[in-house]
Amino acid sequence: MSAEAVARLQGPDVAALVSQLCAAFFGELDAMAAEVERELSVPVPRRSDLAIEQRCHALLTDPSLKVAGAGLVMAPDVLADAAYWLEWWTANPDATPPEPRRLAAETDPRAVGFRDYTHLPWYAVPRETGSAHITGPYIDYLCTDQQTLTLTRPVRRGGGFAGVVGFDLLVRTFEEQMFAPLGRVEGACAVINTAGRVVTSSDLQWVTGDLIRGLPVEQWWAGQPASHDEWEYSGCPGLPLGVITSRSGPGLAV
Amino acid sequence: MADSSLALGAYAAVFAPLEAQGRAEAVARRLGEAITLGLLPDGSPLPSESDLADRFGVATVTVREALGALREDNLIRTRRGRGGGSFVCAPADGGRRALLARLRRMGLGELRDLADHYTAIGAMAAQLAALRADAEDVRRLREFDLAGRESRTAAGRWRAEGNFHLELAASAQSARLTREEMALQSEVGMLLWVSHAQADQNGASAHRHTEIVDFVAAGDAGGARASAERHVQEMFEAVRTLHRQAWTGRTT
Repeated sequence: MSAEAVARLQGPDVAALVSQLCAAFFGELDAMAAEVERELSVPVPRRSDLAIEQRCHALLTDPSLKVAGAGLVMAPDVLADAAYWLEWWTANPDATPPEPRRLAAETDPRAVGFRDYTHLPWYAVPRETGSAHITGPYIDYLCTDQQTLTLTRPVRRGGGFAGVVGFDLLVRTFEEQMFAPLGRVEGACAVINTAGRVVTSSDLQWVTGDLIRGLPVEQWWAGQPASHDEWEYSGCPGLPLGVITSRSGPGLAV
Repeated sequence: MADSSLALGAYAAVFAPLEAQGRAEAVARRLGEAITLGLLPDGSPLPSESDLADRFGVATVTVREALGALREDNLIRTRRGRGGGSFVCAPADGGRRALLARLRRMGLGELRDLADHYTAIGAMAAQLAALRADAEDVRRLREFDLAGRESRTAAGRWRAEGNFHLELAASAQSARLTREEMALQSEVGMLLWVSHAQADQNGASAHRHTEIVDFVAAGDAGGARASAERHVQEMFEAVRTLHRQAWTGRTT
């Protein structure tokens, strides 16, 4: 059988592939952060100093990335002429060509539609950890309207936290890249986030968005050894994601 | 500013693009309800005609027609010239008259159908949220629950009510249930919330929210479902009470 010619993958192999896949997105985010940091380096930065629209348009229409949203969210009081500020564009990545639209969000804290984004995880986690984060899978009802992963990293000004730049990625887009490698793992295999939520899986029992309870996720993320009866864990290097493989997968009998 | 910091869900629904035939009537209804509910506060400026047209995905002439209807209903006032535009005129009775007029156009069977539909969406969302919500989801639900109980304005309570249920559907990890919840809120949110506020002076609704989050946090899908069903039932009992008043003029 030709399938025999395809090499089997282990949990750590899949974890490395996830990191490799995300590295392409974080590479783009790093470039965007560098541009924003340059724009913010003037003595008194204002909204008009920000010029990321063209870059976001290019990213949203790049068929190799298939991102559903891209933009910048400023920390309060960094800009002289807006206490809160965000610039975010969205597009349907499956449209040909995708047509980016500016997200209409209220940024005046006195206005009725204002929502203080500084408590939301895609903003708060990079602020607290100083490093990149992946939020989700979650239903992004303000933006993509679908199961979404939001990738964010901090931008700095004068050594301090000045906001985040980020991408929205439909979970479906992520899955398209992962189904083939997951299929090459003997037995069940799933990519999970720090809460134990399934990003994607080859197990019929667990699908995207499910929460697997009872996993020792806290120890796993802290890098401490912790074993689980059913699942073996491999962390994705540099990411708040991990891969779990079944200890008693159906493939073992083969 | 606990109220205004949590409003984007309901606000986004107010200005979300209209389905299929975006008509002046639909634009007028959505803006009119947002004004009646206090989501757009008294005296605040509406976005410009072209901005509204953009957000609703309709022609500017359609927006102009809708604004004309709102002006006739005394829900907005328009000033010309520099610093001009359309400004919100909140109804003094908290929307009671508008609500009774709307209820007079509805039959009991229609109300029951709406309640069944909302139960199907809301109870399923609660059930699945109990299976799928993580600690962060529970934290956000508690935040909206608290905002509803602490709010001193009716508009604040309605926003919290709407946001709570939207967040509950999102915690169920279901894009479809979330879209349905949003569509139901924009269609019948005013009906439910104003009726409920008139009947529910002691805040039973907020108590119900706490009960739902407790079940969700405990992972008790059956409990969360039953509690959400009772919540919808209570809201519709309030609607039926007002419906009877609308038809009989009796206040008890």
